[in-house]
Amino acid sequence: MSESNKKISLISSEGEAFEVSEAVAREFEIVAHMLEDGCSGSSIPITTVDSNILGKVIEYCTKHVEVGNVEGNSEKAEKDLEEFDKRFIAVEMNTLFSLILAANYLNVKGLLNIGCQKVADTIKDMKPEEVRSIFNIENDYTPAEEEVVRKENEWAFQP
Amino acid sequence: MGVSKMKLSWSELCPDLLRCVYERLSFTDLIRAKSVCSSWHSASRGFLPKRNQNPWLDKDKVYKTRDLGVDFARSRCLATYGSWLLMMDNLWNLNVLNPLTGERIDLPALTEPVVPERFRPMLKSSLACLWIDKKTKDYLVVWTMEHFLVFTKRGINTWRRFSSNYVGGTTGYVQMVYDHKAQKLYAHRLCYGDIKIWCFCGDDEPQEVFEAESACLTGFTGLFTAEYVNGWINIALTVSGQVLKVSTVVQRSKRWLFRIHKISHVTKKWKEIESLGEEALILDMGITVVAKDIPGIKRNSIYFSGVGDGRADPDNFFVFDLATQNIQRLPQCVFSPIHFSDARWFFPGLRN
Repeated sequence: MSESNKKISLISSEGEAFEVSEAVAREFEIVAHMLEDGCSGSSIPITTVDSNILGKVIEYCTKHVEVGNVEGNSEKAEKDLEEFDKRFIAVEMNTLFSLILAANYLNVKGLLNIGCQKVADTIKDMKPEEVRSIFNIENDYTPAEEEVVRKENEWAFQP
Repeated sequence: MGVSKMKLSWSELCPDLLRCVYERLSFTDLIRAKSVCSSWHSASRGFLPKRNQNPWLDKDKVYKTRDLGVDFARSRCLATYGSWLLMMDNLWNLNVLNPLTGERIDLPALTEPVVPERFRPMLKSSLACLWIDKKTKDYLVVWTMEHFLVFTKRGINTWRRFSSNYVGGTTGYVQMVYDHKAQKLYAHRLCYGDIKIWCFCGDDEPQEVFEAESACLTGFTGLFTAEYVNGWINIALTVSGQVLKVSTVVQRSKRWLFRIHKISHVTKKWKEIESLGEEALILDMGITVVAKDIPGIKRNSIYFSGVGDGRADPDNFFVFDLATQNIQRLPQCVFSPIHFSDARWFFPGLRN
């Protein structure tokens, strides 16, 4: 636990520095690899992630590291963490999109999982038109093409 | 910083990440997601939903059907094709029904003299064969009566007997499969151990075709029959219209053995094939399907229902992997507590 006293600065795309413990930074697998490869500088630029999203990812990792360090009453801790994840990922679509991209880039598996799960849960039982409107997707099919795609599996579109 | 103000389009999510989402979707939701936009569609190519490997046993969804009415509850399913069912009610009225869309086509009444009234009681257990084009709704229904075969198809509004089909026995046909591309009906007669073939090419009656080399079905050619408990022979049509002879033997140890033969172009005789390639065989339907077209279906495998003694059992579905010779039971997730008298394979996505 003594090692986690070491601080590392993560620099967002806007150049803002976020100081975190090494344990939290290591939750970003990409950072963990850098550290293992001997890239021991105390500040690491995360050029593709903006401050808003980087802050959120750090919040997520900090919570998970904290809970991971608590010993005993693991069942309650796990439940708390589940609750935290649920609240954490209940964000509007733009943020969710950016979080998934960031989680993928930084290789934070847990966050990527809950992000993708959130998308899947949102899509569930929705009509394609509803999906398009919620996810801001333009229908790039011509009416004829759409008909073909639908016809392939028309049973799936029954109410 | 402007990024968060701009509305991001999810069609730009990269295929890898989309697949992360897809693997959390049910089969039905995945099908719908494909039609959202072209990039979502292309990301789904070759993708298999993980959570439910068997679309027709879709855990998340006992397919929602419309209220099919009391008629449906009193009806019996005689045959299936894709998501279409050939149904007969207790007054011997027949229709072809798609329970997913509610589409229904009433078939001509069974009238004398084509179908004598005395045959009616046995009709519900008679062998029938259905084909329907899901777009044009052209259909063909062939049905075995006591000594003969009858058929109806779109546009003729009546049942007709096959002209040259006296088979001299009441237990003639055990299996019929229709190749709509070649317009040929293959009917397997157990007591004669042969295949009769009719061509529906003309506008008139089906004409019997003689392809002597494929006629003989007897003998479990090449099958190790030690510890034999039961065995039987099925026919099946491949995607390309090739007829297969499928021999099955069950051994005392409950081990199942399969051999598949096709007609050799050179010798015109049955020749064993080791692999179904990219196709999977749906034994009870007598067809093969291209495995990658149907999520969850394994290539080079045989799907069948049955128990050790060979009787079809709706509570037991198996898949036999030809490469590993391993047999696996499919999950029994959607079976209702009511015991079915018969189970049918249902292929919502079957291509014509």
